[in-house]
Amino acid sequence: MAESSITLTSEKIRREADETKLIKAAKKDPRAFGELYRLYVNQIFRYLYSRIGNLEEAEDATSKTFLAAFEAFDKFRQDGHFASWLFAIARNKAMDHFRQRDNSSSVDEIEDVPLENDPLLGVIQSEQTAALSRLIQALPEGDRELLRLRFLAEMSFPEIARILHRNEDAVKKMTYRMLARLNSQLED
Amino acid sequence: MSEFKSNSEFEKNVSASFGVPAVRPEFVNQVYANLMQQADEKSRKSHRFLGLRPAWAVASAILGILIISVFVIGPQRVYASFLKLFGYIPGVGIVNQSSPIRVLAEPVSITREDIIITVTSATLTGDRTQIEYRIFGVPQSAYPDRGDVIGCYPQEYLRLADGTLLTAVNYGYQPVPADINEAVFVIPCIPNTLPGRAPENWELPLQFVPAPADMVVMPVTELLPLPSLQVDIAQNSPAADAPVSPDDHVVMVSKVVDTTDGYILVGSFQPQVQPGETFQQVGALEIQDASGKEIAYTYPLDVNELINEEPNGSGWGAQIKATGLDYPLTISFLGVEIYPADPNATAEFSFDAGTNPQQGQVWELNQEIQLAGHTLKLVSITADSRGGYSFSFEVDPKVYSVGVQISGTTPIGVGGGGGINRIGDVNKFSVVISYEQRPTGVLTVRLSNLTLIGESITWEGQWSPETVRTDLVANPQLPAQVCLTPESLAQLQAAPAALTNGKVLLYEKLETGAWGLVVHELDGSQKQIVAQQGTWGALSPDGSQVAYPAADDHHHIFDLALQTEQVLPGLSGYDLHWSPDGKQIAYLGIGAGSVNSVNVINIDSHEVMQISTLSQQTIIGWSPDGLLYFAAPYTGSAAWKVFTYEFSSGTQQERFTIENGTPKFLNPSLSPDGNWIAYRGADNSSVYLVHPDGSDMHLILDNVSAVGIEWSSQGWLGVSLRKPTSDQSTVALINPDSCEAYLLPIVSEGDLEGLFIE
Repeated sequence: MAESSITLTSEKIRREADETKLIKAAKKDPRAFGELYRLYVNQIFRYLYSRIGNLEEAEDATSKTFLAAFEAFDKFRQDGHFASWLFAIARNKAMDHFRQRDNSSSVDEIEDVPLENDPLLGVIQSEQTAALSRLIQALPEGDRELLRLRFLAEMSFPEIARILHRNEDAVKKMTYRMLARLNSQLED
Repeated sequence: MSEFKSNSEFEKNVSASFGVPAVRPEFVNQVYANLMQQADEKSRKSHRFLGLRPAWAVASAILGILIISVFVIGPQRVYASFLKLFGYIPGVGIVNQSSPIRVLAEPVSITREDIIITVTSATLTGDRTQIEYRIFGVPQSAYPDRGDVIGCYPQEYLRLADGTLLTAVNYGYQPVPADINEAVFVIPCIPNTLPGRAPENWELPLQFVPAPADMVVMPVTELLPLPSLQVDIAQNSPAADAPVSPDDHVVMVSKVVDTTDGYILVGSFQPQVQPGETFQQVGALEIQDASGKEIAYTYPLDVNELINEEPNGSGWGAQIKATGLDYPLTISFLGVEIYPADPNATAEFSFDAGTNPQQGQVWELNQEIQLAGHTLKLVSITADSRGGYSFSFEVDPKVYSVGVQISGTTPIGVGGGGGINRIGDVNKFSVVISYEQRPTGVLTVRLSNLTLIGESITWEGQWSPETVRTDLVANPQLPAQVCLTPESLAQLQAAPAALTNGKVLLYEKLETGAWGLVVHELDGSQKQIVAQQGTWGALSPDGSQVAYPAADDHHHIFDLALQTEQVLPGLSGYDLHWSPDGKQIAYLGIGAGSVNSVNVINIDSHEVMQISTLSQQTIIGWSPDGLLYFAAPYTGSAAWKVFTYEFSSGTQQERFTIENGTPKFLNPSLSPDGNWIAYRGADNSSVYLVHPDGSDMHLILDNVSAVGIEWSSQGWLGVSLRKPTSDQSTVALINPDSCEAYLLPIVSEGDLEGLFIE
């Protein structure tokens, strides 16, 4: 399976080296956590907006994610993978949001966000994007979550595998199959 | 399907189809400010000084308008009262008391392949089970050695005899039924270890017993505040004509927890500003009593649960000692208003990024741009590591942020953007725009949405206890060995001349705004910058050289007199410690398979020796007899196990365990005579001493916002102390035997990393 742009680049490796330094600095000085925040705020916001679909509430969940991460940072091991840890918190905040929005919903129900509330009905900028958006809306929530983590949160396959509690190869295959299917459907 | 090859264009479309807007810079900056406020509270802990940080002073000078909004929670106005259902157990947190509380009968340990997991405590209440466990001895080989590989994130659970599984809930696990006093705590894997690299499926049999009769469970009180009252408004303030509405609960105290020596206050801070405006907090919250005395406080980590309940992430918490206080207490948040200059004002310029801009490429522009009546100096543009560009600005101190767009492009994110970061007479900030693919060629850049730093605002709330506590000790005595407290620190004298002949090495903020390594003369007469970008430095035993890991990933040794620099081969590390003879340097290795384990490099032969296989270690120092002391943390607690390494025999020996150290930055330091180890306590603010054999462990500096810890060869303990209301630090010298203590005439934004007294 070709990895094309998904292949780890030297840029990504450099970024991870930078991240390691930032984590060490933040362990030493709490104010240095601000740089980790700068590094990840875009990804976390994009992911949460895609889940929640409302600017204000996505910002609120983003804020809560980083505040919770900051508070729990003492317990984060320096050799742990920060992105996986952070996105696990973000996913919990998204779940908290849906729980608070509708206390009567069960967790399982919440996992499958009703389409009328789904942020995938967001701004459409091109015809192909619009068609793609419709196809993505029709995907099961689990598949949409995979796409969010990969293409909005910009997570690596090992990171996604850890978060979704799945095998890395399986996650890769699922992603490529889904992309292939979407591509094929677009051409039909 | 297998023949399908994904391409970046299609993946970009997938990303775009989600229709996610770029994050707003104003939001990014606001959350950043909130995090910095929390960071200040965490790192400073005590609040004795009433001074304002420089940025605050600047803002005050600009506008000088003070708005104070106060609400009062008086004892007669408490709305509801005692939540008898909930209580507070120090070190455990908030507990539900609806059913009898049970605890762990005794700690349970299991050792497998030299790895020890210990369940140290359990608290069983009607709504959940709280379990504390810690792990020690995981070899670094069990962890990933690459950033893109992640290990196990365990989902621990309790298993009852009938097979019922009790899984994780907020702040614990599902409750154990009242009639069941045994369970197995299952840890499927050790956090972040790789499959097969460490034992898995740990099962620890636990037994529970009723909590001891003398177990202290303190009450938690929930309050509903009165409407805000505006008691003092400066002339010409817009707010003077617009009284705060009854709903303006800006600073709230919502819950109060009694502790054995005072209170934990929990509340929210939700500043209210005009539409389109925001508020940036400057510095940490301050508490004063009715006599105007600054009240020291600590951040109450074990009631995070209550703090997190506050709306919109606005929660704050403070634990105070209550003896001798005059009520009401006043809780203050200082900040500045941020408002738009002219929403319609824009400015444009072009720059040529070329056809193939490279990451790290810098365009030095130093171009002045007029926007909304203000001059913005665009210093440089850098091709950053996120597929975009970073724009560095210098602006007048009134400018807070500016929006930057590259015409005809759709960014995936915008970061940076502003802030109060005054260097000299200018405010400096950068704006980062990220893209899936970096734009190239001649780019038209549009500036808009200039925001300005407006009025200085102090939001205040007041609180008094409902009844005066009679159970508090009138004059609590600190242990005799405590040399400094927040109160006595304020009385410290300047160091005598005999102690100001020498130098200190600080990791400090430079005039450029960057952080580097700087050596100061002890009398404050002069300083020299050793490294513009250094973070971890170590002063040689004779005070003549500074070793530090440089940006080229090698260790450098800078000779202070000759101004020469030696570069050592091999990869660098951090947490450097010179041997007493100045011939070797111990450091924590990173990269090339080494994950924070202890290494030693011989400066002459360049030979490197790795002397431990554990990870996450910290170096304590070298003893006069040639032992190297270091410590490794327990995962999941504030404990560190201390080891020594004996070079002639190559043997490592376990010494003792530090149970009360901070898990974050222990910063241990061994005195040159080998008599004491100093380290930061679990509150990230105090300093403890212990003999290298583990005896006589005691508090020496109580809650003084200690960060950097270094010894001089004469036995003076140097500690850098953060000022609570600014980013500045002072350095104190303490004789641990006599408690003689002085302040050095050096104040900077920085932490102590080396001390040499002639």
